[in-house]
Amino acid sequence: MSSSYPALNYKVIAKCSTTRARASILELPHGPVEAPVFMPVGTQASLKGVLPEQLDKMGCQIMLNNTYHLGLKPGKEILDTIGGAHKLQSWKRNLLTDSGGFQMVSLLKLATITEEGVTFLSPRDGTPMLLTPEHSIDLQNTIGSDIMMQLDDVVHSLTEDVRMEEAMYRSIRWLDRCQAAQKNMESQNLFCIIQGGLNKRLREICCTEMMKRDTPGIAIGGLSGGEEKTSFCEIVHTCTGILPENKPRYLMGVGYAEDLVVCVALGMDMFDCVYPTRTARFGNALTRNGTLNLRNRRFKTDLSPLDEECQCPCCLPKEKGGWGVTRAFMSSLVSKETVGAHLVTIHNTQFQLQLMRDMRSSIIKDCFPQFVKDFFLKWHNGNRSTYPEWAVRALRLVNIDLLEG
Amino acid sequence: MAALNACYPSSARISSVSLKSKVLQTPCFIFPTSKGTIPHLTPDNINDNELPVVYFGLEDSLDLLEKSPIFTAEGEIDKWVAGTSSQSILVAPRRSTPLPSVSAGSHHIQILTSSGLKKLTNEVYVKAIIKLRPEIAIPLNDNPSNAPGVKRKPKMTEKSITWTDELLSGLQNNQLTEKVKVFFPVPNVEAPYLDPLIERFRENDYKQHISGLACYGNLHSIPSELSVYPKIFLRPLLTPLAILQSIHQGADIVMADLVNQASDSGIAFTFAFPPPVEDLQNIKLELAWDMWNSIFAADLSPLQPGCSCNTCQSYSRAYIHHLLQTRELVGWIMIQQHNIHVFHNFFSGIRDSIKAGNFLHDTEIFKKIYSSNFPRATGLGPRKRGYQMDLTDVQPVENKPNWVQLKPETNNTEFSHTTQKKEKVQEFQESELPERDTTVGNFADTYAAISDDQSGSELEENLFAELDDIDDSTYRESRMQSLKEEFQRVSTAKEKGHMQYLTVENEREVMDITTSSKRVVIHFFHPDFRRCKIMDAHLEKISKSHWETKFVRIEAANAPFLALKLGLKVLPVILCYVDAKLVSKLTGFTDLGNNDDFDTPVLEFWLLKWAAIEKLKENNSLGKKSIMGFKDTKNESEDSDFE
Repeated sequence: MSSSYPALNYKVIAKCSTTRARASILELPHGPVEAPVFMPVGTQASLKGVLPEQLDKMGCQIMLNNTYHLGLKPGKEILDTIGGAHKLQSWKRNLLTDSGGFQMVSLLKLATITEEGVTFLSPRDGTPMLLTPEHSIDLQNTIGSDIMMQLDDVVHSLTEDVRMEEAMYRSIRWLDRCQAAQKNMESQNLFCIIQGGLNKRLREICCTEMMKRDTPGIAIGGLSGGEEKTSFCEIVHTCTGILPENKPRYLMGVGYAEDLVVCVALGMDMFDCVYPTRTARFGNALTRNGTLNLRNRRFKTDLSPLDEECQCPCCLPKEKGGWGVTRAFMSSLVSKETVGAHLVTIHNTQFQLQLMRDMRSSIIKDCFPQFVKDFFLKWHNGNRSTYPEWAVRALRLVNIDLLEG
Repeated sequence: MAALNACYPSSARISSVSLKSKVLQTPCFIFPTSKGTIPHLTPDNINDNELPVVYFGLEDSLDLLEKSPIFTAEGEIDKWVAGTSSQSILVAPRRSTPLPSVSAGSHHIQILTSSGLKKLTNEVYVKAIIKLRPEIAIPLNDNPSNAPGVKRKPKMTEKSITWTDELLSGLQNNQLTEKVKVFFPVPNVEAPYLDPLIERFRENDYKQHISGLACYGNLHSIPSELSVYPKIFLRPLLTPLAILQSIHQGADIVMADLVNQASDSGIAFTFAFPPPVEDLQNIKLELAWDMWNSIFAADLSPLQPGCSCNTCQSYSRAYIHHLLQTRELVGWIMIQQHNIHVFHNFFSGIRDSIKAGNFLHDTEIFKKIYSSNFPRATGLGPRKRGYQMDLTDVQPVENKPNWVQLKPETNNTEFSHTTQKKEKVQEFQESELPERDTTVGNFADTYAAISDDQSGSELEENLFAELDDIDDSTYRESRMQSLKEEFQRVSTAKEKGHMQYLTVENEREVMDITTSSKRVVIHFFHPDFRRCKIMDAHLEKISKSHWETKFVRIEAANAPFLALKLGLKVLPVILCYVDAKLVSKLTGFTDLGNNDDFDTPVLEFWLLKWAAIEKLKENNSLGKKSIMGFKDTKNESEDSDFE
């Protein structure tokens, strides 16, 4: 199961014999990406508080930038002069850029969407601006990301069907325009985005239409809006049932640990989310036993590391070459020192990357179902009664029964 | 620790100071930490050759005095420093450039912790040193920020001696004199007041156990008998030249506060010592560059060509400029790494120059060819935290948000009545909190929701207590203040009839309402229309949780003038006013999906889009699960620079 495009060779190297999970590898212009993969988000060409070289050392093979933000600062002209975003941030690995449409709608109160594109007021000076599929691709060509995303018509997943259907068909038309505008086929990939909200019929139509357009990879969009998790999983399940096996599948904006595990089981390969890094800045450390809120009083004299099993430099003791950071010390820094935020960000990023690597190796060994069960048991501290209903249901769709055995 | 090489006629000298784990070559510098962190740098970004010793002001971690975790949790000082394992730590009672404090008693000094002013007694301080075992300790000392009176000066010296004696005996009783080197705190007083020191230093225990002097005042005042001791100079030095001059006057170790200050301002050092050869005619070289300057926007060269620091090896000026412009934290990491590297080289240069006997000459040239000051900082520092906070006063918000929220323009001249009323609007402007603090916001919401059931003050007390539980940060004081203001806002809003969904009888009243509350939502209804009733049900719900907005309804028939003016033909119509300006109009259910059974959050979201409500509320079903940026509003949005 593989596919080959000028800027992407994709190969599934192992498939779980129970679920739809797969381990695969994407050969991209800036090196290989081993999937399932979590992509940290460097909104403005920087993961907050972590140097590009630190991220590289953690083994991160691909990170995200936001087209919309880079278009504002430093702007297209500067990016053109410098020669793209890799060069700007001295990042040697792969970059994925979103199209900018998501930010338009989520950040700007005044975005209006027409067939032509998204009209919004520039946050710089308030002048009306228009972002069309052509502009978006032009900007992403300038940025030089290894994976570009099409401009799509993003609507909230709870929007009613008429508007949703319009958005879905418009996204297909916009993909055509994006493909026509794309310049650097040799060095950049364009992924399409499946829309259609929580409506299975729309998702099916969209999958079929998008597949005809033969993009090197396929993303599922419009699902991170906090919709009912059960329907969310059903939609993912519907899509992975239709999408071709030989192409990477990217679930946009998903990054909670439980969601990652479930969606990998449902057959997704790539994920991104600001959650792990944003929550780090508020003093929440991710561990295999759930999230620790370091502002909590009980950590003030707790000299254990954030996570006993974690191999990140924060958690490793000084004797083993780490920094021996204790919960007590972290708790004294949280929301007071930037370094406190940096340390938790490093830890959380490492947690995400490690979680994906662990899933990958369990898929290769074909013991992924057991991994899923162990993960949930630990995450809920051995208490099955707190397992979320949606996760139990979703995993049943792919032949794992969390509550059994 | 003798002076090996005096550099006549300067007091600049090369010497060495032996610590438990290393020997320091002086002149050198000690780097100040904030709560045990080198600002901006995680341990992997610290080069410990460049920062062999760091300074820890114990007041940073004494919020609860001896009940503070630094006391109650096991472990030495290195557990409370995010450094490398080979860095030595100096502990002093106060920060290196402490915030002002004046009072002190015969057994204590006043310190400023993140939970306010505290009295630190020497008993507690000695206990701390014995527990934490730093490699260098400066005993407790009384050095007020204001000039002391004549009566206080001799007492300052006395206290230094008494408190040092107590520390020394404490260390002796615990066999720690080898591990912890004590630097005697010389107070900031004139030479005559320091005479008692000469006697004291002749005695055996001082000869054996005092490793150096910590000078809080002028170096001139130090009795010459004591000049053989290595001297840490603790007064702030703001320029490289000031450092050179203090070394000239005999300082062996100085504090590196200026590095932090420059890095926070986005100022990247370019100076070197000995200075480059003098071949420029009357052109002063810059000591540093302001990286906010847009001339660097597309500049791919390193900060300082030829520099071997980590930043210059990997990153460009263009990137650093971009990071500052976007206020990305990584920008400050890079500048801090570079500045520390330059500063470290500056000191090796100083030592070489003294060895070669050129120190005075080199200093002269340095003075001649470099500007006397750093370029003026033009940009903003990072979001104020820990070490940047002045705790003595509630600070105005210095860091303005990076992005402005655009209010839609109402170009439509139809709504001219709003402009006529503008003056009146000014009068009724509600006070706004300078910065949105979600914790404050959440508390205010709780207050709004239940203040009818409980008495106001009792409820306030409870909420403040709850705030105590989750929060002991430096923001606490200002947060309490904001909270009080926010409660006030809630009460004012309630007086104006917010949180109720009232029917207004005439259009005159409608106009008044739009100018007396900041946010107003008006529903024009027809009593017989089904969709108007649906709208009522939703608005009723929303009005209960959004205390910041006034919700009213008026029968369209009672507002003939407005109906004509606004061209209302189809009902229901919702009008949103913000700051007395019409910002949006919703006719029918078109924007809500044109569907009779839409969910309340859909309407709420529409209102938010036009800023007619402040935010989605937590107790609402949409609070936690909403589109994009509003996910998990509880504590995530405080810092969510638009991801």
